[in-house]
Amino acid sequence: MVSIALPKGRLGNKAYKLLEKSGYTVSELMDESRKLVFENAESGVKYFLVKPSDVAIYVEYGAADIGVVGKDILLESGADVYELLDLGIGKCRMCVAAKEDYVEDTGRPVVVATKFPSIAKKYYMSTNREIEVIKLYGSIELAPLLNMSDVIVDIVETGTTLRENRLKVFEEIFPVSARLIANKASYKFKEKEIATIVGKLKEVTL
Amino acid sequence: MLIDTSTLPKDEQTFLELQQLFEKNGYALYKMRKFEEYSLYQEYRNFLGSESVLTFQGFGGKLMALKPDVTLSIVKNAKMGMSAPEKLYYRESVYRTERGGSEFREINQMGLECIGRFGSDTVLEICGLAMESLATIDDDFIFAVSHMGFVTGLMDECGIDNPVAKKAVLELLRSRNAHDVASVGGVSARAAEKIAALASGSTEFSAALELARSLSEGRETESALTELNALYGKVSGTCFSEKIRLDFSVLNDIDYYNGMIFQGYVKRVPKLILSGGRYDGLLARTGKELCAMGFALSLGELNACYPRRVQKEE
Repeated sequence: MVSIALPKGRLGNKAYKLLEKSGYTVSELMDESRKLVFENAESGVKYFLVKPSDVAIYVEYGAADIGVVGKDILLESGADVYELLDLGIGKCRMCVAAKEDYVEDTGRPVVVATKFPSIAKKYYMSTNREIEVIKLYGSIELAPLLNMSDVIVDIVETGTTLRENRLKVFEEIFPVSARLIANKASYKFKEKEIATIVGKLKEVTL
Repeated sequence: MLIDTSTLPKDEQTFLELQQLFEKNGYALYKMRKFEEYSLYQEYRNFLGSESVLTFQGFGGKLMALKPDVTLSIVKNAKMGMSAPEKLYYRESVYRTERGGSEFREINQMGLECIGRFGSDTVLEICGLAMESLATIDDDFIFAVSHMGFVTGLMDECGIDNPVAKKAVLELLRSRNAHDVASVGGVSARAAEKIAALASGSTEFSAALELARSLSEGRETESALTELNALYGKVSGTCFSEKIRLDFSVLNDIDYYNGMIFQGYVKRVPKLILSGGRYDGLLARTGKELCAMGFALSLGELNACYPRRVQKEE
């Protein structure tokens, strides 16, 4: 039995559709229930629905053998896991954005509001710029509008939210999409089963 | 009074059994101090793989550190003769932070080191001892082997000489990430194809060896494969033949590790519990032209997964 951690919400639904196409179905998973664990002994899988930011943790600690997580969350967590496949869903970009008329003051550190402090620090370290990080948990776009920060480091999908708030992308840090990850120890003991899932997913994601 | 060892906590039980195993194979117990001068760890930071060292001011103002690692202390302090290799084993506490964490933990470690002049027989003997150590903990284990010489040789043969590209390729191999190889700068399409094949290949030993042979084009990779083949030959037909894997995601620092390296897992523990390999590079950095190989086991991880058997009163 291979246990799979899926993120609750839109990305989880898309990932489940891919797994369903590959033959790993659990009929009640898409129902509007409050259940968190779903099992199909026949196809040999068990699904857990968890908060998107927790998927990498469940996999790293071996509570789930494999999981689906955005590259943004994976890099931010720094989880020591295998990254087996780019599922090509949940595509967006990790960007530096600011007010349309923003001009960087190079005489002082940049104030960055973000949900991704590790990614922001790593990016600005690579540009040799000192920053002050303000960690936020939502509505990141508000920070520069209220002059709380100079810029934001956040994921941008279509750019509509930015445009509607008169913000724009100044730098693209890296492209983001959902990745299939695996616990390193589980992979050692369930390599055949996990490799079969990867093979089937490759067929439906190509 | 006889002590029933089966009622001891798993780490103590394992220590007693491994102590016998190591001593039977000619390894002597090496007991050391809990601290070292901080400068030792500053110099070999990459070998530690962590920047967090617990420091304090010693007598006379010298900056001292609680040991984050045992191997460095042994390399620095052990008396190494030029004739027979020094064969030592230890059980020590080391002090490190968990990856990404800020709190220091005391880690209960046991391991062995062999330093001196030795040949391929000793390499195979140490791999055998690592497998026996895992079997002592649990019959259901996996011993995953790799070879730093093969991976560095393959990168050289592929013309990957830029240090940034090398680091990126090692990171991708370590996470079995074949899909991002093509986007690494300084890696040709043909080289990317080879690296991706290595990253996504099966770890079943003979299949992985076959794949590695098909990718090899030079002397360094060939010689690494000869060594791996010798190990497979020695293990084939024994009770460990189903437990060994050839897994090129097992990697370590290229400046220190040069030959066979390995990791061990037992089914009940979802973490790495044994790691080791050949580190002649570290000795070379200290100015000693000697061979060195060893491994360490995290005994502290065992107790949570193997509950203690409670002795019932008669």
